Amino acid sequence: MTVGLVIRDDSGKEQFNSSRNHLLVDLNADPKHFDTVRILGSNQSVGAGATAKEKLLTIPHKLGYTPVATAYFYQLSDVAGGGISQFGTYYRNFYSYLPLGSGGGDDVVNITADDTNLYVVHTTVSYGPPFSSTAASTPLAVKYYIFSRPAYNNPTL
Amino acid sequence: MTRTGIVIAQQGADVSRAPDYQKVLDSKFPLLEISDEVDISVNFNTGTNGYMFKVIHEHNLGFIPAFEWFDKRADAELTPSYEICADTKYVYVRTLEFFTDQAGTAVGRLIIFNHNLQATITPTPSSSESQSQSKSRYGLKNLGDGTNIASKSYRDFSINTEAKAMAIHQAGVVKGISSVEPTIQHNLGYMPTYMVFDLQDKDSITPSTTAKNIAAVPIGFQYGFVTNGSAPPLATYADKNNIRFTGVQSVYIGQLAYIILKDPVVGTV
Repeated sequence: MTVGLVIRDDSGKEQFNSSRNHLLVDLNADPKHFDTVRILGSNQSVGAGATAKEKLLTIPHKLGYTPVATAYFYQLSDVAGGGISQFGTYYRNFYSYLPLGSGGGDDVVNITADDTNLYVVHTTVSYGPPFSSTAASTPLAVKYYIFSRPAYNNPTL
Repeated sequence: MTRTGIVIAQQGADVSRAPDYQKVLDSKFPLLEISDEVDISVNFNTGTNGYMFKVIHEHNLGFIPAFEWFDKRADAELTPSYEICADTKYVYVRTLEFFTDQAGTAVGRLIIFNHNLQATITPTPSSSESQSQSKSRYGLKNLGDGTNIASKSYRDFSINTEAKAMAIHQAGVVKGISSVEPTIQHNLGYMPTYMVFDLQDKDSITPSTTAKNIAAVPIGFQYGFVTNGSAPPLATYADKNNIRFTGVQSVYIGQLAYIILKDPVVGTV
């Protein structure tokens, strides 16, 4: 016997079924499991062919497993002193300080998570000459969500 | 006019005045529901130099579903460059470069949503500002795949008034052609959260407005540093009424399947 709640719309199409899993976000988590925060990276430099990383945000989620998470990056103001103007744009799960596909390197922020924390990571990669990131002059707002469902199975759970 | 149905507001919100993004259930609109969660290991080391295209999961839903892929090799630059795509029956992995010298194994989780990317969901009105009231001692829980109603883990529930739900405001397919960027009127009153997928010919990585043998590729990087490949990077612009996608490097030309969710990114603009 199946027990639960099913809702259909007027056409008969099922639009809610409690037997399916859902992406929920804990409203009472501390630190918060969804929030909008401001981040500012550094002008990290990379040598030819090198990679540099820095963590711009670490949110302990206390879930005990790696959760599904997502984030939206919004450029808060026009860039002072370099970088590209993307004021008014926002991206899901990543933001690039460089025009994408411009060659020569990558300079991005993205989200990642493990069993302990959600991270916003700034990664600068050179595929050619050395260069420095413009992250320090590019303030971003990040809206992040830490969802209830695991992104990976943790065999200890 | 009398309105019938079910509305359940989240903790701290008055059900009669709660905006849609503070409801955990409303029979007016669907929630983003999960159809399947499966852990998959993809071995790129096939011993042959070339591009790889193979089935990694059979979902059998009969429609192209929205999905997410989480590569467990987080916080690393992942090689080879690859992407995950789906059609009406299968989920595939497709490499975007020769892989002999970059062999490896991707281990991750595929989450498939019970949402047809080619179906249209018309927007429902959304209203009022967010509310913040004192917590109530009353609430509602409905177990999902959990078995213990007293569980403290929200992963066990499909409804829980102590947890936020992700509701779908609007969904459909929109085309980008050389002179018209994909623009969707949502009228939410705020910049919305969204998911977007590139619909392209399954056997081609070139976006097309006339693709017939269609597969979907999610746009937006995921965990780790996945360069999800042939899906063209898109910049998103939004105001309180519209959301617009535009190519970063050039004008976007192709078909996008979009899901606009009922939650603001940075408030009203």
